[in-house]
Amino acid sequence: MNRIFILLLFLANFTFAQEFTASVSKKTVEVGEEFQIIFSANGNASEYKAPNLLGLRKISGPNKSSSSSVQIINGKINSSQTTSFSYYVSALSEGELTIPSATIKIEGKKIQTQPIKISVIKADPNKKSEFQIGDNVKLEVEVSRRNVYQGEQILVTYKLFSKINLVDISVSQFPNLNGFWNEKIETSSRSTVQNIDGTNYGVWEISKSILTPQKSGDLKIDPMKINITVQLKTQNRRGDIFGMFNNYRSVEEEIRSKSVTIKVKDLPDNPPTSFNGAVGVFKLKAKTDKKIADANTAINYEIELSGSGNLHLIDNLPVNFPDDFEVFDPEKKDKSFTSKNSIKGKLIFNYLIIPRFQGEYQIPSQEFSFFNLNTKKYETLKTQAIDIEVNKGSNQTNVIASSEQLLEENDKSLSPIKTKSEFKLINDKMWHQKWWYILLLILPILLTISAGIRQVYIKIIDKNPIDRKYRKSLKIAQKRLKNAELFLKNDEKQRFYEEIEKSLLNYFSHKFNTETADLSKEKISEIFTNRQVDKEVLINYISILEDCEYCRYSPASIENNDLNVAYNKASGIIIEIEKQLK
Amino acid sequence: MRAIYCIILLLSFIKVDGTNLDSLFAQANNFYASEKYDSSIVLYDSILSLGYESEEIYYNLGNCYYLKGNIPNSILYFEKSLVINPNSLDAKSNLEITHKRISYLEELPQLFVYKWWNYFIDIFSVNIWAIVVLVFLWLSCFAIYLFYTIKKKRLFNTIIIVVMVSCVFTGALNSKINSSQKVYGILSEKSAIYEQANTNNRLSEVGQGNKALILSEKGEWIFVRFSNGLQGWLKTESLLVI
Repeated sequence: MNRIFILLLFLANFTFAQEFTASVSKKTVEVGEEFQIIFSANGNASEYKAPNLLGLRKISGPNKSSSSSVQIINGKINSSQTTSFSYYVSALSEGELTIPSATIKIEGKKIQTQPIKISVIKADPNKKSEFQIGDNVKLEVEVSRRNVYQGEQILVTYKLFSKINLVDISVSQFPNLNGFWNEKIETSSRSTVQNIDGTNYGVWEISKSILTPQKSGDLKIDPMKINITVQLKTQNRRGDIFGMFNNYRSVEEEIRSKSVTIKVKDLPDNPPTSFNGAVGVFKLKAKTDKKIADANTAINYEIELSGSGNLHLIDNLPVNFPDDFEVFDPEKKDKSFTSKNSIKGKLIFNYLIIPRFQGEYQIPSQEFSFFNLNTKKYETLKTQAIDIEVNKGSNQTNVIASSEQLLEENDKSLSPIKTKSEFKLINDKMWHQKWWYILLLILPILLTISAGIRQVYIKIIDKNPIDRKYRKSLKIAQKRLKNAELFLKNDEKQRFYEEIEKSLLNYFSHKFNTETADLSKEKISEIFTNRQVDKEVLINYISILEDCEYCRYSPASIENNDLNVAYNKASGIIIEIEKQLK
Repeated sequence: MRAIYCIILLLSFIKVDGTNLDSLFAQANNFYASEKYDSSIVLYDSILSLGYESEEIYYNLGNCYYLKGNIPNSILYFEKSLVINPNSLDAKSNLEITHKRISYLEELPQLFVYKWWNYFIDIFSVNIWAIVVLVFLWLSCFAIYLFYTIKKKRLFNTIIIVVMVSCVFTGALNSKINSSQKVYGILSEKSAIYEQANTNNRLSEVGQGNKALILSEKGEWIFVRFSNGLQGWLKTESLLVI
């Protein structure tokens, strides 16, 4: 069973300029096959008069549907209304069939549709009921020219034609453009409507690009592949009475365009020397911003190439400036755009040049050659030579007249050669790589470290508290008994004992914070007991005092040995007191 | 030219000592004075081939090549002279003159700290820096020794200063050694710089006589960096190593 599913939404998108058209969904139908006839009117339509559908079985219709849209562009309100009347019909018998015209009144004007011829063929009983996308959708490639010169530009447009509404269109493979320079042109994603042989097609421009062949020969443009998705109404198996609850399923299918072969001819032989691949029609201009300039001030030199052709392939317009000019890399301004089927516009190269020396110069005429597509010949363009007068700059004190003079100046200012020299062996080791240097470097570090270790070692020994206390008190005793020691050496017995007594008393008065005169024997013993000093110290002290008295009265009986004993006793007393009294 | 070969032949029999070198040098200078630059170059080269070098001989060679018009070699020898004595004013001024004869790449501006540090380490050559560092190391070690034996607080500041100064000098020696280990080359001709070794992917072109720091080598290719920051691969044959 053959059925065609047509989505009304698709039709609602159509817009017409005040007209009334008739269209059919299929030009060739089988007997009994359902198809659609649509009469759609643009504008405020009234008094629709249905045609006489002879030889057709009306399944439903006329179904009136209308849509209106309001557009506001630049404040101008533009409203449009579309009314369409559709019929679902099926043919009754084989043969040619004419759908007669319908009439309608739009804004008081009577308009008729064109009659449409359809052919009805015998139903094929074997034909499956599958929907054939291929019949309804096709991808066409349009090429502006198929026979071109190398470097000539062609416009290639891929268009998708569809009779049915498409849910989704996506490009799965762009053609491989080997041997072409490809410049894409923006395309709108919206569709337009084109009426081909009485059938309305939605047309999408998938891609549009300007191609420039880069080599000669037969260049093949591979087919483009796109994926389209359509929604199909499924068969209603439950026998839904109203036929309202339709189920849809999406069907995705790949369609491809044909491949196109472009014949690219070689450019004629013997191109001019300044030719570097430009093809098209061009004009060349050059100018400077000033003709008279001071030395060391900048001049702008502008060379402009305008026209249409493969402008984008030209990346440099070399200029031969005089040697005494300092030339900076040019600034390139690309003012080209893609027009309908070629690239047009201009390229501007802006050179900043600085004359270094005073004088009269000429920027020579520059040449540019291209292949003219209109005349099919090479043409060479020339700019005018530009004379530039360079003055001595007012603020420059020593502008040198020319580069040759500069060279001479340089040679003069070259410092003279040396006449004396001290030679040494090549590749002699640097001092820092020699063993003696490294030794001298390590030595002080080692010495300092060892000295440090020694210091630390001494400090550790010093930490024994008893030893330290002893050594400290010994020092004090030695200090106090310094004079006594002197007398001991000189063997002055009497003065020795006097000194010992005096020193001890002095020491006590200093230690116990009392006057020397107050220190009687009793007083000292009292202090000692109060301070809990060993009794032995007191006994020693008393024995020293006794010795002193003894010496005073009979010095001769005292032997030298006794002096040493007394000295040791005295120092022992001081050490003991120092130790015990903190 | 035959005379030059005779000189070379003679040289091979001469026993090398200081006086011989001096007489060779004087002879070369005479040739220079009479503008026979080729001959004086041969004589200077003969001194070098005997295994001796000096700041002055490289400097004189630079002058010879400059007056012959061979700018890349001239730059090469002035640079060699400056390696031995970075403070040679004559070599510096002559090098600047040679730079005017080539399309010299401007150097990247450096941060002032680096500039000052470079001026500072160029005060002495490596050997002199080595001696300075040695002296200060001894001084600071002695100062440290004094510090923990005498333990006077008055000395502390002096000691700290001595130690810090010797640290700075050691750093200077280190960066001087590092910079003296960098190998530079001079372009002998205008050459293309490639993005990769063994490919044809040109980055740009650099004119003759420009100085390049050699970063790495791979077969017949050298990876270099120029003073303007450009990095790329070069063929070995187009570079004269300083």
